Amino acid sequence: MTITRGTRNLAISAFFVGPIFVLYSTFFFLPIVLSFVYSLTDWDGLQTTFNFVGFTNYVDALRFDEDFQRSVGFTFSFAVLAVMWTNLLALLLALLVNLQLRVRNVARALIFMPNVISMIVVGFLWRFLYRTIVPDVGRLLHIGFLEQTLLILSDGIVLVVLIPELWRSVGFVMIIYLAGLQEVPEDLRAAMTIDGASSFQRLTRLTIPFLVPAFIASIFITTTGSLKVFDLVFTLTGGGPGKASQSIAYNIFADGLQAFRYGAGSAKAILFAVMILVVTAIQLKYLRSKEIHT
Amino acid sequence: MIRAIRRAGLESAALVVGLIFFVPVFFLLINTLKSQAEMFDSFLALPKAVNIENYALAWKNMRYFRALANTVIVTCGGVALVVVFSAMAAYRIARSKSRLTMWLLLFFVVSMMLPFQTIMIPLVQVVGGVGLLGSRFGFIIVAAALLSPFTIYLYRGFFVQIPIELEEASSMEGAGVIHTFFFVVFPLVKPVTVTAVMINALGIWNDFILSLLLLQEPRLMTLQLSVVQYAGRYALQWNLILATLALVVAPIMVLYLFLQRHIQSGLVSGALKG
Repeated sequence: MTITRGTRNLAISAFFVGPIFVLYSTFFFLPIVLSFVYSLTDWDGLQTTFNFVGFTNYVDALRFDEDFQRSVGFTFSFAVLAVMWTNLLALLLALLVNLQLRVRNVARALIFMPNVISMIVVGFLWRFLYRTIVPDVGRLLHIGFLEQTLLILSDGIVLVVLIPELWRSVGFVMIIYLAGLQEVPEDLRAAMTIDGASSFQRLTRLTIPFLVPAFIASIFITTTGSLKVFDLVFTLTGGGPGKASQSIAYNIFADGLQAFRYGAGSAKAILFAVMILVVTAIQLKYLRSKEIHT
Repeated sequence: MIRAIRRAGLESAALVVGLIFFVPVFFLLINTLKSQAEMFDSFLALPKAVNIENYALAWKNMRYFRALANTVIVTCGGVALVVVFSAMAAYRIARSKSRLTMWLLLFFVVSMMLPFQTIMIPLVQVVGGVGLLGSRFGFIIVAAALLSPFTIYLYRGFFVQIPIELEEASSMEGAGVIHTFFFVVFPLVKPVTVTAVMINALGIWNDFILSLLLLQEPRLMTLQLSVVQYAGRYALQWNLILATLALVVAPIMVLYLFLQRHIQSGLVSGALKG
C-alpha cells in the first residue's frame, strides 16, 4: 500500500514537474555548466579538439583584454546613470500624473507607450533621430553642439545611449511608483495638511517613506535591466564609435560568439554572471535592511 | 484664482510631458509618408501629401506577412508552453513540503538573474546537438525553458496563498490531483495567468538575440530579425527603414491602444513579484 502510494505520488510529481524540468535542465541549466567547462578551455568553436587551460581565460580577460575592460566600464557607468535618472524622472512623473488632472490618463498612456516597443526598434528609431532630426533642430535653433551627429562622440557616448533607454523605461518605473503612491493613506495626508504641513514636508515625511518598497523594486529592476543592455547598443551604435559603446553583453557576443573565441567568450560570460549576481546580492541585502528600519 | 492658474499649469505640464514622449514616434510617422527627396528637403516638415508607397515597399521587401506569422506562431507556442508547464511545476512545488522540493525550487530559480550571454555560446551547441537549430519548434521549447524560472517563481508565490481546503473538498468528491489542478486551482489564479501571459508574450515578441541564434533562415524570420536585416540593407533610405519600424511596431501598438490599462498593470505587477 505504502509503496504504491509512494510510486503514485512520484508519478504525479513527474507529471507536474517533469516537462519543464526536462526543458529547463537541457536548455538552461546544462548550458550554464557547459559555459563554465568551455571557459576552462582554449576552444575556438571550429575545431573538434580543445585543451584545458585552467583559469587562463579569466586572467586574460581581466588583465589583458582591453575591449572587455572598456565594456565593463561602459556598462557600469551606463547602469549607474540609467538607475539614477530613470528613478528620479519616474518618481517626478508619478507625482505629476498622480494628481487629479483631466489629462492624467492621456499623459500616463503616452509616457508608458515606448515600453511596448522592442529595444531593437528603439535603437533604430533613435539612430534616425540622432542622424537627422537632432542636427536639423540644432541648425534651426542655432545650437552648434546638436548640429553634429552625436553618435560619433566617443566621450559622451554613454549619454547618447542613455536617452533612448530613459525614453523607453521611465514609463514602466513610473507605474511602479504610481502603484506605491496609492498606498499612501489619504487620511494621514489630510491630517498633515490641516496641521499646516507644506506640500514639500508632506512629500518627505509621508509620501517618500511609503514609497520605500517601490524604490526597492524599481532600483532592483532597473539595475539588472541596464547591466544587461544589448539590443539597444546593437541597433543604435553597433558598439561604436570604435568600441566605445560596447556593453559587456555586446562584447561577449561580438568577441566571443561571432569571432569564434568560445573559450575566452565563455570565461567573460561567467565573469559577467558573477558581476550581476554580486551586484544584485549586495543590493538586495542593503535595500532589505532599509526596509526594516522604516 | 491662483488655484486655477496653478491647476492649469499642472494640466499643461502633464500634457507637455506626455507629448514629449510622443515626439520620437511623431517624427517616425511623418517621415514614413515622405518620398526620399521630400525627406532630404526637411526631416522636420510635415509631409506634403499622404503617400503610403514606403509602406507598400517595406511590406513587400521585408516579407511582412511571413515575419508576422512567424512571430505570432513562436509567441503563442512559447507562451502556452511556458505558462502551462510552469504553473504545473509551481503548483506541485508549492504543495509539497519535502526537502527535495525546496532544492527543486532553488534549482529552478537560481538562474533567474543570469544574463542570456552566460548560456549563449553553449546553447547554440546544445540546440544544434538535438537537431533543433533553424526550427520554430526548437525556438519555442528553448524560449519556454529560458522563461520558466521567472514564471515558476511568479506562480508559486500565488499558489502558496490558496487555502488547501478547496483542493481537499475537490478530492473528497473523488477528483484526482490532476483534475483538481486544471479545473479548480488553475482557474483560481487567472489574474496571475494574465500577468504571466503578458510578460512572456512581450518578451518573446520583442526578443532579438534568441531568434538571431536559432531562427537564422529567411523563411523563419521574426519581425525583430527581419527589421534588423532589412534596415541594415537600406542604409540611408530612412523613409523605407522607418516604414519598416512602423510596421513592426504596429500590431503591439494596436493592442496597447485597446488594452493599455491592463498591459500597464499586468507588466508592472509581474515585475513587482519577480
